[in-house]
Amino acid sequence: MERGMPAGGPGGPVTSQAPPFTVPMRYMLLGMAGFVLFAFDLVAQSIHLSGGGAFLPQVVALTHLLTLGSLLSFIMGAVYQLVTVAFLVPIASERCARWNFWLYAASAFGLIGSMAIWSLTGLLVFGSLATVSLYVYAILIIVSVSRSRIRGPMLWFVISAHVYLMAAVAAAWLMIASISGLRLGGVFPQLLATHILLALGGFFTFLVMGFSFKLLPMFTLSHGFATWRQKWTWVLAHAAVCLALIGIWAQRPALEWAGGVAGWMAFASLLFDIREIFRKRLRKKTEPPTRMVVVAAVAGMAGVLWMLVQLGSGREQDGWQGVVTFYLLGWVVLTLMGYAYKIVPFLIWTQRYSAKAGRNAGAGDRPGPGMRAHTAGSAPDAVTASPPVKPQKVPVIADLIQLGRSRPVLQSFAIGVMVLSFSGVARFTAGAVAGSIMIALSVLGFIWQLQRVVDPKQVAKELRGHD
Amino acid sequence: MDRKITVLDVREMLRAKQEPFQVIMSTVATLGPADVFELHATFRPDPLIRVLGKQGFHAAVVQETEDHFIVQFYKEDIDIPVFHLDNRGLEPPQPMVRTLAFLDGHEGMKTGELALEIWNERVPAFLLPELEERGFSYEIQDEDHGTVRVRIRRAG
Repeated sequence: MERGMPAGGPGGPVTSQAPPFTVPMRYMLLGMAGFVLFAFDLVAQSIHLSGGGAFLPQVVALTHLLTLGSLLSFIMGAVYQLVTVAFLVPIASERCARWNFWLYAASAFGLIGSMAIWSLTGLLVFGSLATVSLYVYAILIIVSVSRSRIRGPMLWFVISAHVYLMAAVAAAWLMIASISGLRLGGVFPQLLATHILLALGGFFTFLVMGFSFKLLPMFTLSHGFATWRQKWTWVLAHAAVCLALIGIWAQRPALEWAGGVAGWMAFASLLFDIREIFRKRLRKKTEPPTRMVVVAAVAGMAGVLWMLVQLGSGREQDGWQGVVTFYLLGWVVLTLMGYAYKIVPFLIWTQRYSAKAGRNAGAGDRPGPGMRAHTAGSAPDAVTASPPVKPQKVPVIADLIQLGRSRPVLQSFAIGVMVLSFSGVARFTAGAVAGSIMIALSVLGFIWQLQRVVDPKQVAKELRGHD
Repeated sequence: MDRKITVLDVREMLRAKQEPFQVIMSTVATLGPADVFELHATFRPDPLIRVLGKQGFHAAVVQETEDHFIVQFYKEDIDIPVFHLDNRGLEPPQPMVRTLAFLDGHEGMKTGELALEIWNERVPAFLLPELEERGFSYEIQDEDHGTVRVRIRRAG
């Protein structure tokens, strides 16, 4: 250590950059509400999910109820919070993030409704508004993280994810424009494939991979693990998307296949990294949601493998529907559910209890001047001695949710995904319905557990009047 | 109140048979009222602890290896010696990993002869359950400029 230098982290003391509670929470609550609607709609549409119903308006709406109405909304909230924790920078404009919520909520659900009734005007209007909203979000995040002094693969993943998001949205808008009469020379199939690839393989995959490099060490208390492979994961993931894109537009199946191989290698590399993180963890007992993230990464790799098989065996719509369903639900959604079990209680605890934690002094403890105290293992006494006050323990984050109870929810979700995906390919309607019901029940169980943490009545009070 | 830990490592000077007293005292002269002075030495510097004690400094000593002692001097009056860790500016999960490594790696924390005070940017939500699980109590103080002090000691 240098002589006479202040200790502490790089760059010296930095204050907390977290946005106000209402910014991430509003987006996350919308995402949770969207997830509930998705669960009900999934069962309602399940009969169409075997035997090539992917292009039915109600199935297109169902897909976007999941991606736009739930996942993206939840992700936006989580990213607004995580960026400040992982990159130690504030959001470039909190006001913009706050107001963009309303534009996003209106445009996303307007767009989903327009898909369900297949209104071209609605698609164009709400699609354009959603494009603006998502560009605002993506630019906000890119600008925010670019200001961070933290560099490296996590930053590259997060920036890449948001560039892919903008590209995926552009492809979607062009699709809507082409449906509405813009002459694009018969490239609709390529646009559709590009949109799915950029959204799933680009945005969701890059974002989940990038933040996993931060969240998994946080939740397992891992340090000192090798990180050299992370940049190769990033390179391979980009190679996968780019090769597949060129293959789609040049109509070269070999390039699409090469992209699939690169994608499979990216997941293999990610799994090696995850193994490293787990090997170097301080916390010996890992929680079910964290373990399920590993299962989800294996599902991602299996999904890419399935895509390779699909590329080699033909281009039937059922098969592709199965691949997309399996990859989206098994990799993206399962991972996000695992992380949500940690992120939502963290937000709620920080909002409601962090200012109270350690306030009450337990017997035998002598808090220092200006300090609030808490004794482990027993309910501490209140500081004021008269009149007698019933001891009241300020909950810690582990008291907000029993993470062991997430195991059956996540396991039944994973089984439901497999049943639905394979039944879709096999055109087994009863299986698709059963898989959908399993998924829907798991989603409802998941939301039930999270709403007990959130407490809707209390959160409504906390959100009221903060715009 | 802004606070920092000022670190001075005099082990090389001591191994070279040099006298570090002047360097130490000139460093001490630069300290603010809430600052902590952290000295790295090859032995437990009892004479220095007495000298600085007369100037109102309390001392917390931890031994890392046979010839590596870390002594922290601070002015706050607390009933047992308190070691300080400045976790501000560190990327998660480093603040938590550092804290738990200290708690698990120092006998004084287990016996209750030593307390630990960490300086974080926010209340460490995920750390508190770990502390309870390990049988530690904690006191928390939020300071206005984004520093949260968490003082940890054996419960009971």
